[in-house]
Amino acid sequence: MVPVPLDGADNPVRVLVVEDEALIRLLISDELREAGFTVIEASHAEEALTYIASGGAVDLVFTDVMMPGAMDGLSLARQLLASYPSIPVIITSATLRPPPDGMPGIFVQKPYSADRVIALILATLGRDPSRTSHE
Amino acid sequence: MNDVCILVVESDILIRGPLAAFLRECGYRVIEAASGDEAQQFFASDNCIDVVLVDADAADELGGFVLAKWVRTHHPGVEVTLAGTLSKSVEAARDLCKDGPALNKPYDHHAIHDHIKQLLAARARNKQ
Repeated sequence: MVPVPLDGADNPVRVLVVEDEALIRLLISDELREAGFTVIEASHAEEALTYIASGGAVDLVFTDVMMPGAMDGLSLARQLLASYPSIPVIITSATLRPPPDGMPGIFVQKPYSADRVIALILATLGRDPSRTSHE
Repeated sequence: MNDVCILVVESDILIRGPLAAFLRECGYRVIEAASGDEAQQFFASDNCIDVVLVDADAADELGGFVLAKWVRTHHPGVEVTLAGTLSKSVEAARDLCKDGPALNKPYDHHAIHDHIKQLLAARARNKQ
């Protein structure tokens, strides 16, 4: 595994994956870890906010839209944009198409490939794709 | 240890995340479940789970105790360890676990690692 550097440091990029479908969350999280990212897994939006509000370090949030609870992925993204504007958000959904105006983040359609998500994360953070181990 | 898979069932991300990260650093493959329902989904899709760490106070309908019993019944080759904040619950949980004491919260990550190693060693001995 080749860690993805963050701002020239040795620390890998930390991605918070927010997805209520456990098997999908595991799949994309494993792929991102294989690519060298540090992945934190949240099963719903409130959990993601709890993690960030507690001081958990996150460089980017990758969130599904349709989730149980009071907050969906779009609300989460808007909340992050308002409270943590330095944390970029990538939003994914199988049902939103095309993405509505004012999307509070970058959008990727489900089903997505891990390669597509990795490329989006690296592009969003201005990282060099050649530094990952993902084939 | 990459071939050893640990399923961590814990509803609190602030507990589950650091514990899972620690166990990954120890070399295990770690699957994170936020509920008993999610844990059962992983069992349905992945037959390679070796050890389950279950929060006895799991907040979902299934509950930690019931999940532990379900694992013991349907996947008898899988080691199960219950952990919880209530000592009474932990005492009761011991009836559901085959090996060793249950773990108390807050988790001591190194103690959990030692416990997992003991479980795996005992299982290896039993297979011989």
